[in-house]
Amino acid sequence: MHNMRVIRLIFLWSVFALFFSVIACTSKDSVGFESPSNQELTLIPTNSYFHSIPLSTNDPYSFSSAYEVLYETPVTSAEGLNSEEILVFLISKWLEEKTQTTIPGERISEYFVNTELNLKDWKPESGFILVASVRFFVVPETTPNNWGSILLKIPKNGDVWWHLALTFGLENDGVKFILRNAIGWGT
Amino acid sequence: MSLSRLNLLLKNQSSLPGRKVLAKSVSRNLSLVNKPYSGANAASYADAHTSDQPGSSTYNTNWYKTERSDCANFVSQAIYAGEGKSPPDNSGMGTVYATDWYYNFNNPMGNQNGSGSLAWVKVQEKYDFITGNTNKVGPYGYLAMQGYSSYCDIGVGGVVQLYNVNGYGIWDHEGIVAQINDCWSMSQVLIDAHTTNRKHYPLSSWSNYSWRGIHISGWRSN
Repeated sequence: MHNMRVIRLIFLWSVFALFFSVIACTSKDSVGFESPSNQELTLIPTNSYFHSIPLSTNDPYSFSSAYEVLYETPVTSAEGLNSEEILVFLISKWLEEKTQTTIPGERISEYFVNTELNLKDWKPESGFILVASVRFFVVPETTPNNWGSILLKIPKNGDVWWHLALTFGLENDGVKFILRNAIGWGT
Repeated sequence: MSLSRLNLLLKNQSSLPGRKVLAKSVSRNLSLVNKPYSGANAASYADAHTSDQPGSSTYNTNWYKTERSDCANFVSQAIYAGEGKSPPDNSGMGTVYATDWYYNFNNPMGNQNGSGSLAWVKVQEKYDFITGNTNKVGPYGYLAMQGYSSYCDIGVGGVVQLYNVNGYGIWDHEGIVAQINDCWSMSQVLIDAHTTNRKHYPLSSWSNYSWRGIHISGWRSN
């Protein structure tokens, strides 16, 4: 009788251990730092806007001109795309340049842009037609490098992909679409 | 107890069974020297090298400007000034990119990014380093305002960090406390920051964000 109880206890503990291992693995996957190759390739703007604090209209950081230009392209080169698609297109073009740059610590060998946009509040008076945070992934050619300050998570276990995020602003000046680094938007 | 008496005690203890590991780890800590931190010096540095306007005209060209986001780099420079140092003094700096506190003044890549360790250029890693620093070279301190305490617990020269500015569930922005006019009023705690550039910006302007303060107690050198 005693032996039966012991065997039953061991069995129950094994079931519990198995259950918690499965939960732990599932939780790890749900954090959202999966390999870029598994990313969904369709454009997914988030439905709920991320609410940053509206800045005073006297604040220079309320306007697109305060933010550094990363990339420009003629309006005609992005015909047929909506503003969210144009943003991802320009981010990709900007990163493409980084595969060719000779600046030490800046050069990357590969990149991947997550198409799920984290849209932020903005007003048309700001000069932007879109402000959004975007996750992207790069394989830097050197470590340390220029990408550390926007790193979401320190790469581990030999992962060559650096998981990054940056807030971008998209502007249309009538001639060009302009991609700006809008990090700090709302602060 | 004087340092020499403590060393003697540890030496005696290390001859006892089971005491060797303890003595070894404690004596490693004893090789580091605790040094004072001047929040006023840190604030003066921050005031001199930021503004309320976009652009980098006020930035200190002795340091690189971090591409894309200079907030943590700027705060680290101010902390360095609060430690009473000037470039290229590299005392109180480690060597390991992912876990130490350092700025490499002789970066083989040139005066570019990558000169600062992750604790130097990243918000969460800075918090982890400073609040968890018990036996490393670099600044140490604690999470301020736990329980009933005023903004003065962060202190001038302390760090204020913001959560989820970019919407990815991480601590991703920070500034340094440049002035506190009233220990009990958020609008009287004035912050200096980079990217975006802020000079004497009221902490209350960041009140829609979750935030935390770090009090810097001192720094360690070897």
